[in-house]
Amino acid sequence: MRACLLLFWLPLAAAAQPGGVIMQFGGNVQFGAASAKPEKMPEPRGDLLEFVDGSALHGSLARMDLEHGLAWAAPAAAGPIHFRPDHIDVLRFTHAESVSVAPSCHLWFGNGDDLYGSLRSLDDQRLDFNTWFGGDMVIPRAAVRAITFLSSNYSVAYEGPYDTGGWVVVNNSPKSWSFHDGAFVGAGAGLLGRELHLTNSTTVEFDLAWNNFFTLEIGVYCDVTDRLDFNGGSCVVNLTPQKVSLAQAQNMGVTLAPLNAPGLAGEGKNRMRVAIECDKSEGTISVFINHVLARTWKDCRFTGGGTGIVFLQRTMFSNATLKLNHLKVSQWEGRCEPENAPPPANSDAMNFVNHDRAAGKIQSIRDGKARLALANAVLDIPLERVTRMEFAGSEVPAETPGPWQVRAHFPGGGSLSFQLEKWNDQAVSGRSALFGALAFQPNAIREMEFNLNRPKQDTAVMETKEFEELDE
Amino acid sequence: MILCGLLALGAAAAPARSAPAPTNAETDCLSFRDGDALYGTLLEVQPGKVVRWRHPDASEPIDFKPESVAQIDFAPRPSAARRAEATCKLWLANGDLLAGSLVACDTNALSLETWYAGVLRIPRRALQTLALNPRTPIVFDGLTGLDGWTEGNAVKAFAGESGQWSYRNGAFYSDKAASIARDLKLPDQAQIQFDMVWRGPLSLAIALYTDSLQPILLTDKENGPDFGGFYSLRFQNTVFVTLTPIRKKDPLRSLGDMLIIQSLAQKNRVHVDLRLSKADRRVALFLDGALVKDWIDPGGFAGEGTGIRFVNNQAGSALKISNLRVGKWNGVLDDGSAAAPDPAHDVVLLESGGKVSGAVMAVADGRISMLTTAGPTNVPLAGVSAVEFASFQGQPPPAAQARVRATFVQGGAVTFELLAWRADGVAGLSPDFGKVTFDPAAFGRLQFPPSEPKTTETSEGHR
Repeated sequence: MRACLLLFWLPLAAAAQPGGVIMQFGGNVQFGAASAKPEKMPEPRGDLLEFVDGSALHGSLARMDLEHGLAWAAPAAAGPIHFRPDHIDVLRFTHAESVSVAPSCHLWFGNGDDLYGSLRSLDDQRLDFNTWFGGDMVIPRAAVRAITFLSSNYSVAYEGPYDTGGWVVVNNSPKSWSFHDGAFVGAGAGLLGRELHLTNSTTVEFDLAWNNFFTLEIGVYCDVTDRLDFNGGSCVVNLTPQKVSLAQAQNMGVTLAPLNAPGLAGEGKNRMRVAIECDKSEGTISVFINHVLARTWKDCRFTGGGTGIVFLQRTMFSNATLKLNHLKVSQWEGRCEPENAPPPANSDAMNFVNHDRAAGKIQSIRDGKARLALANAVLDIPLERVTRMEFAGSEVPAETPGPWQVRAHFPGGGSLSFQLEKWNDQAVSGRSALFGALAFQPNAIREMEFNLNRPKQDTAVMETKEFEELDE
Repeated sequence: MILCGLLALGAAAAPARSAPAPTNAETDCLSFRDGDALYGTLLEVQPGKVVRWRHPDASEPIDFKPESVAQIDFAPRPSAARRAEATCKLWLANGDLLAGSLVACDTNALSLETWYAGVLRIPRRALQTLALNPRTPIVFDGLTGLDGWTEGNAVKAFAGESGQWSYRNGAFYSDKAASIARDLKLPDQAQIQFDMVWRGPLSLAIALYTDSLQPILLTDKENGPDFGGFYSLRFQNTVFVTLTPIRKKDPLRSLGDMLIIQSLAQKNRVHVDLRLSKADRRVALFLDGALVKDWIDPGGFAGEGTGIRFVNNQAGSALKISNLRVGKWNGVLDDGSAAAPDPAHDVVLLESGGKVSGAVMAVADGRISMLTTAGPTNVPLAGVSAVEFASFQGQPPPAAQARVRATFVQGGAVTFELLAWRADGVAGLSPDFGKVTFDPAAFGRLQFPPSEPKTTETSEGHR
């Protein structure tokens, strides 16, 4: 089933964060020394066009269409540059609108796309879905791989970084955390903190890339954001390329059951997606690496009342670099289901709040209930009892491969792939094998990936500045 | 001093950010002052007007503003391989380093024939040091690539990762624990020289007279693959230096005490000069021209191979090795190079170890004509290793405007006012040798000056 869809973004209240950046310089062992000299981080320098070969050019997108390619206005150039899309990796938009969203579920497609929104109904043919940017959507059921049901008060507390506002940076070396093109880049020991007023259960997820050994500590529910305190029930996850461990105040900072797994990120890899899930109701802290559960610690306490997060870089080699981006902090209450269950083979599956799991045929979702057909019975289950659904044999109509096949990433999470046809300052339009015609407002898109299947140069943090400095 | 600081430093205009990882070996890389970078091909530079660039995905050439460009790195050009036999290297007072062949020299100027710019006539005031290739056979002169070298298997690294050495513009680079080796057919009496620049703790092991092109794990050498004896010269934590004869079955025991060279902590580059003699069981280490240690091995010369191996043992330390030259050593330990420079006179250094001080009047017909305090004298050029020219005492000419610095593919660099860069030639103007046209294939990198002139300019010279 195809639906012609016009997705027009309606402006929502931006999640403005008060405050500015405070940078402090202290000694090498004491983080957050008060004798620091404030220093301002560089502000974003416009949108960024990145190529698959690692090239990058700041500027702004003037327009884009199939006939003329992409018109890019770079301050360094005398006039607009017209690029064909054959080697473009990604377009990053600095000033895409921030949004406050409270979706009730997270929809996963078989092709890797995902959307946050609200589920209206489901039958054996279609799924009715509503997103903040697109309104009501009709989605073929066969394209859906899984649905994760979020708690009723799920909210995104932070998404970024898109600028430096609200962050406290305590540098303990001149080359510690700095902001570049939507990422914090650390080249020395130092601390990065932010007050987020966290009260519920929390998930902190981010992409990490590195070019040498690192030690990063991530504090959640921190009382203060200019130093790493072990007080008040905050938890601190210690992360290296090979190891993840946990410390909490209750243990006087003693590491709890470290997981020392060779090649935690994968042998020879230099990037990973990290998710730290602090479940207050269950008293657990789970760490996921590349969407796979690495470890769950039980009997954790969250009694301190701290509400901030901190990233502390402990040790760095002289030319090591760590890049942290695509950071998202979400809050939720009452239930959370790891999104790492293996896909079912021949049957649908349903996970429940009590951690039970049942396999069968999900026949429908209607009126707040899901109907699950088992071998000998049909159950009508209230949706508030369900944490996740997985669908057998997910199949998404394939997009035609080519340079104009793109994947748009939206503020608040979610991504959608389609064939781009036109982009100007009024609208982004294209065609999806799944949805048919599509249209967005340009500022509803954070990033636009191109050449989804083309090998891309891994330039995450492989800055060679140190080498350059060695040159005569 | 000829052996002192062969790293001639210029006032390079540092780019705001480095180029992306050098994976696009077939294309040039344009680096902007704001840190952006774009691969492609340089078509033309018209100073003050345009830097014209071709990008494979752009339908038309792209015109960039010159003031926004920091640096261009060039892909290797085929013609760069036609490296004419240079018989000398010439350091200029401004830090430039030119390779070529000495044509003549008088009281006004020195003429240097180059394959990349024809004959350059350079005024005496601009000269600093002329280093002549030694008469003794050169075994190896200058890094030109990774061909012929063996990248080692993974090196055991402290905490960090192991990697490999890379090559660019006449130098090897490593920022991870890495090994690279080559059988250079070291003669029984050898002189090995190279320049070393590092960032972070220096931790380099140099295997001398090795027969193994793979790194040897010293803590488990008895259980590893067989290898012949060699010497391991190790720089550890920057300032500690040891020389250890390594044999398969023998315990590890350094020759003498560990050296602590505090001066290395104050710098990040040094010229290394090793002189080795099998017959004398000798390994002598010079750093920046000064004899640091002369080891005599009482157990007999340990080296059983003819190769050399560089192992960066410190993951996270960036290391650059360049100007590697290996030749037969003439056996002279004190060649006068360590003596303090004499800025008031020209000094001719002899291969025999002696030196002649005075005024160089001419170089012609295979000899250097000098005026010394004892009167006129002629020094056969064949016995000269270097000439250090007296410092210029007069008023230097005004520096050229908008100078660029071009780095030669095989090392060295030249600064000049860029008049035009085209595919068929680079037109420039130098306050030292006037108008000049370079073969663009000679250059591996072009650095543009910052938009705002510097208030001070450091130019660490050869001395």
